[in-house]
Amino acid sequence: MIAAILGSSGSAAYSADNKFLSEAAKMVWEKYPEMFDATKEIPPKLMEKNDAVILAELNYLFMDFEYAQDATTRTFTRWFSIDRRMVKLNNERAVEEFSKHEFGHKEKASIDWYQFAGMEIGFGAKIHKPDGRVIPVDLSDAYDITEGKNDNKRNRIKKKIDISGLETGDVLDYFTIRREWVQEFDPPAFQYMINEKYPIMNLRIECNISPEITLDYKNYNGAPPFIQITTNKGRTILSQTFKDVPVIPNSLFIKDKRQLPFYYVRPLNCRSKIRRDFVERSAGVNGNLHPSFFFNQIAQRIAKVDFSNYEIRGKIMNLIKDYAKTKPDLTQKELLDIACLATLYVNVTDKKGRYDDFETALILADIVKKSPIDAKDASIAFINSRDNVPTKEICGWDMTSYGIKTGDNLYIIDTPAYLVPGEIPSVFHGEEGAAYPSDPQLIKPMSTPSLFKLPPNTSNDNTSVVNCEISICDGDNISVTGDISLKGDSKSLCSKFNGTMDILRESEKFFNLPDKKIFKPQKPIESSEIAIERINDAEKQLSSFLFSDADFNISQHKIVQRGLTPDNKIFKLEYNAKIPSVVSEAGDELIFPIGKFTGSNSRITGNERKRQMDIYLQSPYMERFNLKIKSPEGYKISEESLKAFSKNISNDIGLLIVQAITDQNGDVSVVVQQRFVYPTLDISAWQQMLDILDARADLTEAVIIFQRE
Amino acid sequence: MKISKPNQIIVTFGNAFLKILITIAETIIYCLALASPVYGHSISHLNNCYSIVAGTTSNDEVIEKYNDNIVISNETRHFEFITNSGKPVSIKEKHNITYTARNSEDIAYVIKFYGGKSKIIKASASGTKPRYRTYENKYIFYDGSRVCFMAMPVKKEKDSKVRFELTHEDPTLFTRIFLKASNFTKVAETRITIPAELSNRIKVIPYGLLPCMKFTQENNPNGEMVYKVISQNQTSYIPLPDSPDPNIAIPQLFITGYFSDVTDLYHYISGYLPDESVNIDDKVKALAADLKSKADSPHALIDSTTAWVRSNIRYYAIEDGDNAFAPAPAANVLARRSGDCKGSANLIKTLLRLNGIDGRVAWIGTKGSSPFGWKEMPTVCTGNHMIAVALINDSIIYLDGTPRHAYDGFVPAQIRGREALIENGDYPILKTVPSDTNSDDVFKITADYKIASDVLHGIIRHDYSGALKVAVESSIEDVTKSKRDEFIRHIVTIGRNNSMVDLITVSTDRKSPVMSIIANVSEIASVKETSGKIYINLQPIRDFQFDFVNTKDRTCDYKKTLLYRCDFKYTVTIPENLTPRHIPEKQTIDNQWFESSLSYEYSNGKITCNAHIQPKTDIVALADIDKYNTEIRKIKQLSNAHIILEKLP
Repeated sequence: MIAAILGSSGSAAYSADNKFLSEAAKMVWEKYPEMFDATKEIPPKLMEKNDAVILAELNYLFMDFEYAQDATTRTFTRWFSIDRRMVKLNNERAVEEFSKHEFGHKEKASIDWYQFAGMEIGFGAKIHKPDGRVIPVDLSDAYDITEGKNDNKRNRIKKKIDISGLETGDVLDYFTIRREWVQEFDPPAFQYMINEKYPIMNLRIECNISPEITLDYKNYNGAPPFIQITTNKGRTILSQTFKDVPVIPNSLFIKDKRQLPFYYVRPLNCRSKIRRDFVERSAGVNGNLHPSFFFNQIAQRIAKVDFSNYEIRGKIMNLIKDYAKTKPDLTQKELLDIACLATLYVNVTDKKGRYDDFETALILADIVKKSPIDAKDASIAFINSRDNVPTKEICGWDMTSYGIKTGDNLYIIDTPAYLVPGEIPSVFHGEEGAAYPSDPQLIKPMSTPSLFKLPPNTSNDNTSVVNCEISICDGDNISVTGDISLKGDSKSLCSKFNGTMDILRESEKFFNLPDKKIFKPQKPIESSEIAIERINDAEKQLSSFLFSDADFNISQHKIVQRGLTPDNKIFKLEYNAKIPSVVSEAGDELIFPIGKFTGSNSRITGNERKRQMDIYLQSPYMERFNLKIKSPEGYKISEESLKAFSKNISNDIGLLIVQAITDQNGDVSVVVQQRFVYPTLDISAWQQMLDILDARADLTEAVIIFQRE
Repeated sequence: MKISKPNQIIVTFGNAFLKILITIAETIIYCLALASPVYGHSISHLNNCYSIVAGTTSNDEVIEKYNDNIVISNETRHFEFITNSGKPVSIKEKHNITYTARNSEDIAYVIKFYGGKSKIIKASASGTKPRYRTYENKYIFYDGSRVCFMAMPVKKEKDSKVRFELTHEDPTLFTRIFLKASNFTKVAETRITIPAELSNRIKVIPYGLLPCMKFTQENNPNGEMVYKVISQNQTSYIPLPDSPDPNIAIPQLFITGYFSDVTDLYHYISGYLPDESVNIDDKVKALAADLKSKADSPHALIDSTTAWVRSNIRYYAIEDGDNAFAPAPAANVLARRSGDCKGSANLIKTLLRLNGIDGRVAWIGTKGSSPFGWKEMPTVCTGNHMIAVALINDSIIYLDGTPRHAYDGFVPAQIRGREALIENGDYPILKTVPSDTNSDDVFKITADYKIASDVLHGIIRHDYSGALKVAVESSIEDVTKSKRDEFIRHIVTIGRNNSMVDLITVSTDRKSPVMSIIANVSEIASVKETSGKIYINLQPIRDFQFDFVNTKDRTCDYKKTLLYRCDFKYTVTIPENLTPRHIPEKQTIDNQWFESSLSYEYSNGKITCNAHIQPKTDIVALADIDKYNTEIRKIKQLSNAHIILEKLP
């Protein structure tokens, strides 16, 4: 049965659909019947709070290995993975959610004409009725989605099915099975998150692995280690079971990889001729290996580098040298920044480029060691951000971010496009990393990397500063002109204003490239339609940041600088907005809702106020709004209302300051500054955080009063 | 739950590109026409200035104004009827489009729908190959539609051509041709050639033609009737989610004559009704019996039958081939516990008839589906929906099986005032669904507040009636249970950024057209004290239908989703040591779109605010949107008015 599910050896063809599906169903339904009991009683509290309750779930992986049955020594890894769920449907919404499924996807991967990987998805389901009947779902009810001119089932992309007869109160028992294979290359890694959208009463995770496969795994964030047993056929079974898995209580300010329990399972083809792993491995399952093992893989990868493959280095070097000639007084740091920019630009635009992050780091390290930079100590660094597991807990050489380190300078290759090369995202700051020499000759077997810790950055490194002048023109309109300057990670707010070509053109402008040398794609990278949509989205996002009223929108903008090059790290944009007047007249007073211009901040409500987990922000940051409101003609500001508007909340983790004064012209100047000092906070700091966020939310309703003179 | 992490190898897996393009298609394409027009995409009017495409500088010091970078310099669509023995058997279509880019190289997305009885014979474009796929519609599970799409590079000031040849094999389905331009089109010609033997029967009727369009009909030397529309410099039209249904908003040609009159059409479509032998089984009979046992009158039985179908039959639409016309047998719908409008209507009809009530099905075109009634336009495109009706005591009760949270007697807004073609043996009944229930659609707020520091505390009650009740209840049920309380809080505090609510009770009943939500509310920061005065920001107009219409890049009229009256009443108890210093004056607004009044009065220590808004129409013409926004601004300004209290001496 397993063989029928895995598919025939060495062949790119799949078994007929029906056989695959029927064999799969037979196997799945027979697995752990004691777990999948549709009559199991569900605690009323779970039913009350959830659309659905998962009575039982099985995540199962079976992986096998074989050699081609011919004269070649091709190696194949074949596997299937099953996700089976038994769900009690408590209401119509759940019925709607669980009634539709897709399966039957067939995909293949090729290099030129040669297919070397494939995938197929199967499905099966049964309905358990409250009266005890069990109704198998007829898969012939499914519809084919095909590609090609005619609706030919052979060109099926997938199937979709709506489960007939499903009602509130039913228990749906369904599974998805993915059958995959890959030749020579490693299979993908698998991540098993334990918590889901609905509570799970009984969960089992199990991996059944051939003795000829190398597999590393690790458990994170309190997930208990797998129970590992070896069968008499030498197969390894990793498993763990869980009872009463709750739903994650909070969705705001969390980082999955640092807070939620999960497993990472990494199979490898250790017999392949095209090894991605640069250390000879023997077959077998290894759990929670010491990180030095994976660090050594990185080292050995460096040791095996052949720099002659990296043809683009010449072009990169020319860019740097040409630029350096025009600016003879550049510091080494400045030269490093330029080297990083040049490397990334050439890697993207040159046909011979398109190297992955690791190789790009090697190229950059080689570049900076040469004149005019002479950073002889350049090393290959690797470090994980808070969006990933800590560096010391990686479970594979490819589970980290690469860059170079020279002196105190770190350059990470894979940074968001809105940051200048050399700017490090805040999620890396405060994290530990490691580095190896970039010279392959200096790498010894089992060499230990040098460890380093990036210092934390501060809220001054990630700032949004808005300067805005507001004029109450007439009864109908308020005129707003302003600018916004963004630094560091705060530039993400306006990242959509920069398209791919904008980014490349900025680099070309920086290097002063003549027209014949700039990048000219054969076809437009982005159509005007998509670009307009992108920019409209960017405007909407910015409007939402600037104003707390959904009716307030920017009408025009001008990008002053994009913040994409070493000489121009700040993003700056000017804007106009014509806002429908929100001034209200009250006798001889005008009431101006100043709060609507101090940014958008919704109050945190409901269950999110009851914090049950530590707090992760994307970065420490500072936001500052400098507003100037011109007093309408014939009116002067009520100083008392300004005093009432002012605020000062300061605690260990941040502050909110609101100050309002009048200048000699009688115009009102308002400063709103919010700051959060730390990117991560213990749960005990939640109330302090709420104090600031609530006060900021209250600010959106603030008014100041102008009185008739 | 397991997530697979892809390995770092270069693969050419499947259809990521297709998925992206389909997503683009779905956000842009707003209607599926039976005669599939081509939608070539480009930017439409811009208010802003961008430099975006390869070959232009990215530095915003030099800002280029884009206005339809991609234009269609020439488009021809020729339709030719093919006959056999004097009967139309198919229509051949040849569609040629020439694109050019005005300012810089670009990509035009070209999409052509086909499928079922419409087949693509040829498709080609400069510099790209066509791709084809099943079209997936988020409202219909499967309908057999297919789409041909291309991302065609278009060079500056050079022609890029697209050619399509199609055959439409079922003339009865060839009923409309849309004349929409998705790009600025310099010259377009749509021509329909009808052979002499058909020209007395098959007619082409223009609808909603623009001033830039000229319609002609004349015989050619072969005796064929040639209908032609030529348009020049037609601006693009991109429908939006808040624009009128493209089926009536877009200029089009209707093709009629396959059916001699509405009775002829009726004979055709009623031929698809399922036979009793497949319609009824023991389970259907058992359900009918069970419903009858619990109803104490025929009207109660009609209500309970309809309610049962609405609550227990999930919407699921399969519309390919005959399924587009044939209602699923009642037994199938019941077994599946799902079905489309036809299946639900047929089930209601069958259950009623089993219980001795004269239940029937009726075909109907919902609002926005067609500008014509059945008699004027006896074609299959006049109707897009099916309901059941019960004939009882000389009256007709209209029973739409699809709205899930409808109350007894509810008639959806989309069928009010529409002509129903009711099953009636050999000759149908034509009746218009009453629209007097429009006045049932009301949104009411009542709130009683007391002032405590900078907060207004009180009890607030929202009553949603009629179509609004159904809409709100459906929205709530669509939210996952764990977030439902939060969602209801959000509804109750609509229009207020800083409100906290608790002790919420929701009252709703199938027999009542009203749903109520009552809650304790604290409107934080709505009271400010300064200079010895208290400023209260009540914001009495709290409804999302008074949002500004977005005019950016807009090429179409605006249409409200739902029309309903608003009646809001707030009372604020004034503390004994305070007295009103300023209460806003009564204000009324009366324009072509709505009538409103807002008044405040003070008596017996309370300030009472009453706000009423009565909408007049749900459509705002494109040319009037700025004026409309001005009127909305007025209402919002009125709502922003503050009450000022001061301390008693």
